[in-house]
Amino acid sequence: MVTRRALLGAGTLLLVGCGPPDEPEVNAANVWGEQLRASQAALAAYPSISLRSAAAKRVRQLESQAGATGTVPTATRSLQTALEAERVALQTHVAAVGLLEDRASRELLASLIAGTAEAVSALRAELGEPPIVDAFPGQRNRP
Amino acid sequence: MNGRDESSAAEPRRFGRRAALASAGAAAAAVALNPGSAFAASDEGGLLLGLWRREKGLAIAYGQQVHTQPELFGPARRHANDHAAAIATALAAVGLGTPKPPWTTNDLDVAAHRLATSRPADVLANAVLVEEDMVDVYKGALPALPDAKIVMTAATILASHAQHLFVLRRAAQVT
Repeated sequence: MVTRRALLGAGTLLLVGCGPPDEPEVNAANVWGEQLRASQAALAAYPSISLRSAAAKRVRQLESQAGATGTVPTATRSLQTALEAERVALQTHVAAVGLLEDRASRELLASLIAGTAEAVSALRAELGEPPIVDAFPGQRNRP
Repeated sequence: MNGRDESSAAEPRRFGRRAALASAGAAAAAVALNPGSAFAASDEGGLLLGLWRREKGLAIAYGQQVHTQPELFGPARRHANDHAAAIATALAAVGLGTPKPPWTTNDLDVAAHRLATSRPADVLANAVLVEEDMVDVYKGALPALPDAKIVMTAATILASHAQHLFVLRRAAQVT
């Protein structure tokens, strides 16, 4: 025979068991801070070439979103360093799209992704490398 | 995520009166496939289907013109097929199968049709237009894709089209 108490207990267990899986809560401010630092690192690595102004614009877009600039990274200025930093920035922006779901965030990230991907190709071209090396740029562990 | 490189070199080219009539149909189809409507689809599956059709159409268009700019359009066609394969995987993830692909240029959206049927003098300019279109399509799609993995895949495809757009603009000397 099943008692009322047992049924209540079973219900509680069901509720506990059927709850949403434990997912780490996303802190949007942290995610934007990460985007800003990645783009600042890229900007710091650019030598004085025309591509630098587009990188500076992306940083400004992020500064208004992130709300604080923090410590601006420093880097050795060269095309190669800028390319590496922009590749990291692109990967960072792509990862953020999976974390931030609201329309405004996704729209800004889409703009940053398109601009940063173009910068990666432009820097490769400046270095005499093939400007496109992958069908899915921005994936982790890809060129 | 790598897809097959489905060569369209063997696909028939039909640009007669029949094609002209059919292009009216293509224009009508483009109403459902243009950048505005690709992300106007209210559900994730519908949106993914629109993106898949755009990529398959783009692969056909580049295939039709690959002889004019093989070093540019060869990789672009291969990447469009790779993107379509990745989107097909996403379609499967949301419980949808892969539909019948477009087969001839008459089945394409307006931008891809314009590229596929370009005169040699216009081919680069039309390739720039179609890639601008694809960048806009994916920029519009990102806010509407709820699944984290799928939206990240779409983000990498957006990045890819932005890179092809850069290369094509440079080749066409468009700033």
